[in-house]
This record gives sequence, structure tokens and C-alpha cells, in this order.
Amino acid sequence: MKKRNRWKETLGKAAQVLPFYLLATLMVIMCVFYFHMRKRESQVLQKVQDAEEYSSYYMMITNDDSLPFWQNVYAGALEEAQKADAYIEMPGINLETEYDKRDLMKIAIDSKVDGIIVEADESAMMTELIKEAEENGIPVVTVLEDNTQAGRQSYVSISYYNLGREYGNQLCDIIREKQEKGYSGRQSVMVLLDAERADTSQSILLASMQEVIDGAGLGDLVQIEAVPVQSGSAFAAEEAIRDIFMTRDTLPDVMMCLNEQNTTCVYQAVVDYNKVGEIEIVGYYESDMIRSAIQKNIIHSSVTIDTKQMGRYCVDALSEYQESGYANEYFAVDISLLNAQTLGEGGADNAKETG
Amino acid sequence: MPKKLADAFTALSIRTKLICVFVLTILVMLLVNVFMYLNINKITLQLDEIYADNVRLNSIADALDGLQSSMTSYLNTKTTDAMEEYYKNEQNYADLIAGLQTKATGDELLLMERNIHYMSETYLSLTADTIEAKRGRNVEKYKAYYDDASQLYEYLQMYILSLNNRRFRTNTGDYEVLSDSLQYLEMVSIFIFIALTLCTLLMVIMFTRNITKPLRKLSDAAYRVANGELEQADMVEVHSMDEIGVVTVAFNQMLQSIPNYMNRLRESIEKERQMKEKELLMETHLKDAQLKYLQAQINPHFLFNSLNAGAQLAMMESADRTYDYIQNMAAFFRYNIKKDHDEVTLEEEIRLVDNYIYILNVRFSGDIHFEKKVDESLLGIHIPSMLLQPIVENSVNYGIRNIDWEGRIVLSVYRKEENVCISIKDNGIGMTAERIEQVMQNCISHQEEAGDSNGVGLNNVMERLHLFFDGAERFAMTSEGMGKGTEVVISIPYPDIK
Repeated sequence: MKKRNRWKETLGKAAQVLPFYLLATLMVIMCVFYFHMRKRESQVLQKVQDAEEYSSYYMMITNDDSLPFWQNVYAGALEEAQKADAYIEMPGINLETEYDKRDLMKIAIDSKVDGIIVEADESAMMTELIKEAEENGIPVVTVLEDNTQAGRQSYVSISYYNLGREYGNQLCDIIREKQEKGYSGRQSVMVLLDAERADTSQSILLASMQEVIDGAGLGDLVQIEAVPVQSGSAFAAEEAIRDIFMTRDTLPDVMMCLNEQNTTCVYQAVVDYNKVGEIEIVGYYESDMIRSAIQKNIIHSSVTIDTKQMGRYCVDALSEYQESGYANEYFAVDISLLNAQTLGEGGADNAKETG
Repeated sequence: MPKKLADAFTALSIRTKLICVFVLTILVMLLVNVFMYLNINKITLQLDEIYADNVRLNSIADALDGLQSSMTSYLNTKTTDAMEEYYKNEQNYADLIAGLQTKATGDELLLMERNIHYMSETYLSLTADTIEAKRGRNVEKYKAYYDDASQLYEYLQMYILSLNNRRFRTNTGDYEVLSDSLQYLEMVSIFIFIALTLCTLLMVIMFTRNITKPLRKLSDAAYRVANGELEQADMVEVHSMDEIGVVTVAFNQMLQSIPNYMNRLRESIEKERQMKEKELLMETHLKDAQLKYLQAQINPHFLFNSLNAGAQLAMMESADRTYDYIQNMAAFFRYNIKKDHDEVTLEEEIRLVDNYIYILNVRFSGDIHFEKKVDESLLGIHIPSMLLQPIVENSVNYGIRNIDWEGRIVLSVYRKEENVCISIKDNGIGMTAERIEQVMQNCISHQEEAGDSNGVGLNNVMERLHLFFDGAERFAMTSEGMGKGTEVVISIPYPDIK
């Protein structure tokens, strides 16, 4: 009885302070809730608040921003730019319509950017735009393709001579492999050129390739055909390549592609027209699809360049110019080779550098 | 800490407690309401702000359209109105783009904003050049400027549209998050309000219970006390030192003191009763002793004197008178023997007085003149025995014994209103008022009464009358002064006549 009374008394005392504990708990819940709400809201506004300011702002203008090649170049450039307290943007990506290089160059000039990286060409319009940029005090760096007419500050590209030699080596390998397999006839080789490139780079490439083949004593066994493919207008390259497969009576034994898009289109056409094994492809660049195709032995090999290095060099050239008023005239980017063997050794990271 | 707080709370008065509880409840409600209101207000403001960017971009786009169309209109018509419209639109557009940010940041949307700003500056400059060239009628130049401006106008439109769309997508995401937050807030608000209401309710119940519980206990205890269950009424527990606590403490003190007080009262009554009883008993014993003592004195003394007188008479005269004398003596003694009975009739008492007077007249040679005026219808009333003889004896001894004139004693019995009056009046030396007062106050010593008396004094008569008639005053003694005699009147209530 006494125990029960004591228990009742304790319970009564506890009940007296219970509302205060409940109130305190309620207050704690409210505080937790308040901070939770603030956290949620701050997450919403975080992006804007986190936006870092930079002292310089560059634009990078290419023919096709969506290509992994250019995405990688951009990634390398952005990385380097941020080190130099600058930000780089590919303006075409954020717009609701697709502008060509001319429009984007105009936008860049009118936006008063601190520097332009452009995949140029030798057209008069490009020359004009680069000149306009120069007049507005905007330094221009050309990448991959150059415009020699205007006063661009620097040119970042690969050595087309070295590239031609690499293609030549790959062609020699293919011929030798075919000889080993018993094919002794003359091999027809189709090189897909960019019809819109007016500079001498493709000529240099072809010449150096020929030089390697001749040097290997295989000149008689090879018949090289250079086919220009339109790249500027929409879907032109794909249509042109399909035309080759559909209209030609005899298809080449080896197809050599000098850009990523052509490589992908040729690969798809070979698969679609059931020419796997009959046509050897020497590709360009290292997208996931190209890697996969190399592993399946549909593409013999792919000549690739260090895209991030290319991006870095572009930004370095602009930074150099901003700092000193001068920049290196030419930056050469490294070339490497991707084939079944190098992929087996550990992928593109271990690709044999040849440049 | 909570215990200290609870102790401090219990020490407060009810008024303060009530104020505390109400203020606390109101404050908590207010706090929660303000908290909820601020949160909801903040989210609502943020919701409003979310699409503020879109609204602003729409305004810029509209202003841009207005500027382009007013410029085109001026180029087409060259009117003053178109010019004014152009300047108005130009100012408007310039004001609007001034609000756009111009810094190079890592945020693509902010970069677009920056680009719109700078492109707009170029565009404004181009439109100004166009208008200037038009005014200067430089056709080639203004056409070229117009083409450039139109192209830039398209870029700007596209940029604004793209930024607007991008912002809208981002803002929609933010809106969804905030909308979720608002719903979440609503749920939490409902929960907190319900919890708070329950909490407050609980607090009020607890508090009122704390007030009413001791009150109920107190009233229960008071009822028990009122019903006389003093032993069952336990001490009421004191929980707090508020007004109820103070009343409870006072009640407990009262509860403690009531039995003590009652015991003391009871003891005092008991003591008084015992004392009275004792006093009465002692008085009775004393009277009894006195009576027995007097009786013991009367018989031999009086008998001796009377017999002495009888012997003298017998010597001087013949046997007749002796015979009468002895008769009277015998009657007197017989009455004395009979007087053990407490009540006698008035007739018997008067006869005793006759006997006594006869004996005295024999003793003192017929000096006492005794006269009776008796209403015979009253002779049957009952009175205590030995009542009249001591008074007559007193009148003889202190009234007429030593006077020079003829002594006279008158015994009257008459009715006066509801009383029967027995008057014994002498014409002796009389009494002063002080002496009467002393006699009435029973201050005469027994020694004074002693002597040649039958032993039953006036005091005895008065006390017996007093006891016989339950304390009522029945004895009166009057005298007109020294030498004017004394009268003793005994009044007996008529209904008491049996």
C-alpha cells in the first residue's frame, strides 16, 4: 500500500512537470524544423550563392559543341582557366537555337569577352570576324584549324605531318596483316577529307602518309583515294558516307577517317551494310563507341590526340597574351594511338604516344 | 532545476500562478504563431521571388521589342512621335539592363545575363548610330547599322529567351522544392498546433487540479469535522504555500487544537461538578452534624430545665396544674421525637408553639402574651418541621425577655395573593437594619445563638426553607427600629399546599 502511494506520488509529481517537458520538447522540435527548413531553402539558393567570380571570361567556339572531342577539349580548357582565375564557356550549348560559328563569334565580340578560342577556317568571313575581334581588343586563339589571314594570337593544333605518319604506319600494319593472311592484291584506301578545310593541313597529312608507305616499300600495293566530305551543314557527313556505300560498285579495303564524326558514321555504315571484316577502318579520336568498336575488331585502330592538353594550351595562350601581350604562335598537341593491344594494356590512358 | 522551478512555483500565490499559466500559455501560443507566420511568410516571399527573374526577363524582352520596333518605325516614317517613342524605349531598355549583373562568374545563367548586358550595350550603341545616320540621311550607313542592330536584336532575343527558359526550368525546380517545403510546413504547423493545444490543455488541467485537489481535501476534512468525526479527520496535506496552503495550515492547527480545547473544557466541567458535589455533600454533612449535635444538646438541656420547673410547680401548688404542665412537656418532647419527619402540617407547628409558650409562661410566670390570628383553612398546609418554634424562641430570647413593658407575641397565618404568609411579630427591643442584614446574610455565629435555646437557630430555619423551596427567598425579617419590635414573615407558595 505504502509502495503504491509512493508510486502514485511520484507519478503525480511527474505529471506536474510533464507539460513543461512537453513544451521544451516542442520548442526543440520547432528549432530542428526551423534549421531543417533553412537547410532546404539554402540548398535551393546554393547554386547562385556559390557562383564564383572570375577576373577573365573566354568563349570557345567550335563547329559542333556536342561532340565528345570538343567536350574534352573544353574540360581541359576549363580546368586550366580556373587555375588562371578565368572562366570559359561554350556559348552554343546554352542557347535554344543552333548558331553557326559566325553568329557565335559575333555574340562573343558583342558580349565583350576577354578572349575567344575558335575552331577557325580559312574563310573570308572568319578572317573578318577575327579582325573585328582584334579591333575590339579581344584576343583570338584558333584551335585545331587555323586562319592564317587574320591576326589571331596563337594556333593550337596537332602536327598534321606527324598525324599523316601515324596514319601511314597504321596503313602499313594493315597491309602487312593482310599479306600475312594471304591477300596479295592491291589495296584500295579511301581517305575521308574535310571538304570545308581550305588550309594545307590535309595535303600535309596525305603527303606524310604517302611518304611512310613509300618508305616501307608498300607504295605499289596501295591505291589511295581522297574523298572530301561536307562537314559544315547538318547531317552532310553522314549522308555523304552513306552515299559512298550505296552508290559505289566497289568499296575500298581500308577507310581512313580524319575526324570523330566520320569515324562514327563509317563504323555504323560498315555494320549496317554488313561489311565487317571486309573494310578496315582507321579512325580518329577515342569515344566510348570507338573503343567498343576497336574491342570488337570492327575498327582497326584510332589515332587520337590529347584533347585536354589541347584545351589547356588554348587557355595558356590566352593567359600568356593577357599577361605579356604576346603568345606562342603555335602549340603542338600530342598524338597517341588506340588499338586492341593498347586497350588491352589498360585503355587510352596507356595509349602509346607517337606525337 | 525542474524541481527548484516546481518548488518556486508551488510557493507562489494562486493569483500569481494563474497569471503565470495564462502568460506562459499566451506567450507560447504567440511564439509558435510568430514562428509559423515568419516561416510561411518567408516561403511565400521566396515563391514570389522565384519567378521574379522570369518577369524581369520578360520585361527586358518586351522593352527590346519596343525599342527595335520604334527604331524601325522611325526609319520607316522619320516622325517625331516615332523618335520620341524610340528615346522612351531606349531609356526604358537602358534602365532595365542596368539591373543585369556584369561579372564573370562560374554560373552559366549569370554569364548569360552578363552577355545580355554587354550585347545590349552594343545594341543600344548601334541603334543610336542608326538613328543618327538616319537623321543625317546617310542611307548606306544607317542601313548597315540597321542590319547589324537587327542581327544583334535577334541574338539578344535568343539569349533572353534561352535564359528565360533556363531560369524557368531552374525556378520550377526551386518552386517544387519550396512548394514541398510549404506543404511540409503546413503539416508540421498542424502537428505543432495539436501538440501545443494538448500541452496547454494538460497544463491547465494539471494546474486546476493542483488548485482544486487541496480544496476538495480541505472541504472533505471540514465536513468530517462538522459531522463530529473529529477523530477520523486526519491532517490535510499541504502541497503549496499559496492561499489554499495557508488556509490548510490554519485548518490543521485548528484540527490540532480542537480536541485539546474540548478536553480542557471537559476536565474543567468535571472538576466544577465534582467540586459542587463535594461542597453540597460537605454542607449536607455539616448540617446533619449540626442538627445531630443540636438535637443532642436540646433534649437533655431543655428536659432538665422543664423538669426543674415541673418540680418547683409540684412543690408550690396542687397536682392539677402540674398535670397540665407535664402534659405540655410531654407534647413538646413527643413533637421533638416526631420531628425526624421532614414535613409537618401548619397546625402541628402551631400546636408546638402553643406548648412552648405554655411551658415558657410556666417558667417565666406568665410574662409572655401570646396571640394567634390564624386562618384555619390554611392549617393543613405542609411546611418543614421545627420552623415556627425557633422563630418564636428567637422572639422570646432576643425580643421580649429583657423589656420593661409587657411582652407580646402575635402569630398570624393569612393568605396573600398566591402565597400563604406566617407572621411572628413581637413588641420587643426590635433590630437595626444592619442587624437584620447580618441575620439574613447568615453571619451570626453559632455561639451567639447558643444558650437557653432549643438549639435550632434562625439560620437553620432559613437554610431549610431555602432548600425546601428550591432556593426561593421565603424568609423576611422586618423591624421598625430599636424598641419597636420585630416581625418575621414566612411566605409559602399556595400551590405547594398539599
